[in-house]
Amino acid sequence: MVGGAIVGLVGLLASVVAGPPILPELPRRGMRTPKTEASPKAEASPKTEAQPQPDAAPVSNAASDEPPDTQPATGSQKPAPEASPRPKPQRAESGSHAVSPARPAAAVRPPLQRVDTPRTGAMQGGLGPLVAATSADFTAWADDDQRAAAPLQRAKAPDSASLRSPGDRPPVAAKKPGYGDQVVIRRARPQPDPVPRFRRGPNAPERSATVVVGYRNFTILDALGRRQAWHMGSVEFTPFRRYFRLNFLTEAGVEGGEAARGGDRADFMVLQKLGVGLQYPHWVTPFIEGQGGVGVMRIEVFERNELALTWSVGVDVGAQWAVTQWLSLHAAVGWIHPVIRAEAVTVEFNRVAFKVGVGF
Amino acid sequence: MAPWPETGDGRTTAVKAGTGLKRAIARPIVSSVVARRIAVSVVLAAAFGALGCGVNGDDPNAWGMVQYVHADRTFALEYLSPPWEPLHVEPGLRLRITPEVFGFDIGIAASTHGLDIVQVAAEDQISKLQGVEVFVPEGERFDPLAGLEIPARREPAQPLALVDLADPFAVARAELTNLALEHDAKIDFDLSTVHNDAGQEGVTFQVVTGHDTFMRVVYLPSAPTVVRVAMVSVFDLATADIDQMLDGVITNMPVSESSEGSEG
Repeated sequence: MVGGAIVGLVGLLASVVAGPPILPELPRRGMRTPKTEASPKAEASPKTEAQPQPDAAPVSNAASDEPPDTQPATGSQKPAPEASPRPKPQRAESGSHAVSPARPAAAVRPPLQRVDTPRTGAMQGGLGPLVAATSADFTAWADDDQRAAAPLQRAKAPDSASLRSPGDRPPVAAKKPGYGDQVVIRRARPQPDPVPRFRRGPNAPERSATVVVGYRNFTILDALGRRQAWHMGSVEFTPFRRYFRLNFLTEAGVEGGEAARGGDRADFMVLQKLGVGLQYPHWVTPFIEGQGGVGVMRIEVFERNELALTWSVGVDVGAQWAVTQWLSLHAAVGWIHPVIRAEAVTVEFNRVAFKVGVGF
Repeated sequence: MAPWPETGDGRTTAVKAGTGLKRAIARPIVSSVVARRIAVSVVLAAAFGALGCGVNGDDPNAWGMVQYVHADRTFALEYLSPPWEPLHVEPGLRLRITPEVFGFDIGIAASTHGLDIVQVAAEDQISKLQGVEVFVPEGERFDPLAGLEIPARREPAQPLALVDLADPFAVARAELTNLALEHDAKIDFDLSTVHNDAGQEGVTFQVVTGHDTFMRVVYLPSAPTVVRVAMVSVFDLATADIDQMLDGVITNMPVSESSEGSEG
């Protein structure tokens, strides 16, 4: 007991006299590894120490793998397997300031971040500590490279497996290197590829309708000043019907409106017209057409029949909608200028006419 | 022989045939340049000639509507001429329509329609207006009984002798009774009231006379006596045209509106 106390006091005095033990500096990246007295192998290989070791970037957590006092003595450790084949640093400044070389492209681990440290060796910025690669890491990286370079191989199930129902027990597949215990087995029955069905739409019509049965309506004033609506039915034949439009129209109509009240629809007219115009044949064929024609007209006033000569000019602007290949709808609005030559008077009008029809 | 060289290739021949058809269709109708210009000029001249060659149809008088105001300004009306044409204007206005078929005179000395407007007098006899033959000029009047010995018929009493001539209804009832009882007229529609365009209320009836003609009479109030509008026709007079014409008859025209005895 007393002896122990004496030894403790002696130790305490010795420590007070000698001071605290001086620990060696931790190696820093890019710094020359300090010589240590306790590493005779390091002295035996001064050439290795003199060279900058970019890959042996010192990190703080390297102590978890090896003792801190042995870490700086890189020369004493087993040489890194990639030390010689590694590419040179892309940028090498002063001897103590080096950058990490480019890593292999197929490396699995994320590349180490490059950290440029000042000559003082102090860590700058908020970067975390870097991890020093060990020989085990290099071995693991080499394995990863081999796996990555190997072509992707799937576990090939027997043909009968594809026809197996989901409830059946799958056969044991042989393990393939590179996937560990993972086995890829196709269980679902492959569905047959849907047969592509393409129905090509019909081509847009290159011509307008050949024959149009139409209805035109316009209103004039009769001899007694009453509104006289004309309901005109027409049959049109269009021999030229691409961009240039030639149209033969035969129109016949009866009166209506106020003048025909009481069911007395006695007035009628028949016209033969010629139309010339332009159009753009497509699904919807717009057209503009000038029309002119002559005809005869029966006018009845006070129960007396009178035969009048009539002629008209006008312009129709409209379109034909090709519903099907052989059926189209026709609509137009236009200006019409009918002139009626009666027994003693010639009367003319300027009216807006509406027209609809069905084309074939 | 085909207009294209025979290649022996059916497809080529078909294509060429189609091309030839297209060329034939696309060939201008008038190949000559001069003739084409003439054709275009004719078409354009006809098109523009159709413009402005007549009277604007929106004008109320475009078709020949005539506004007539009697000389004493007792009545006025509008009539369409043609087909109406005046026979005389005194003492009242008398119009007629000559028979035509599709604008051609058929040469019959008669009328299809007759109209007589006059202020009634005590000695008037409406029976004298029966028959469309009344509504012809004096020289053209046809008398089917001329030359025949016919016993003299008892002259009927004057139907308006004891009637208030300023009362349209009284005058209408007296003359309808005379026609029905004395001249065997059949009543088509009985006495009824009408209103003209000016809002005046009148009395009207229609009968079928012994001459197989329709007679429609309208009585409108006027001063000093009633204005009677009698229409006679071989056709039914209950039509829209007749209604519109009768509605346009106005009595007691103000002096400042139009000149006397004029046709505007």
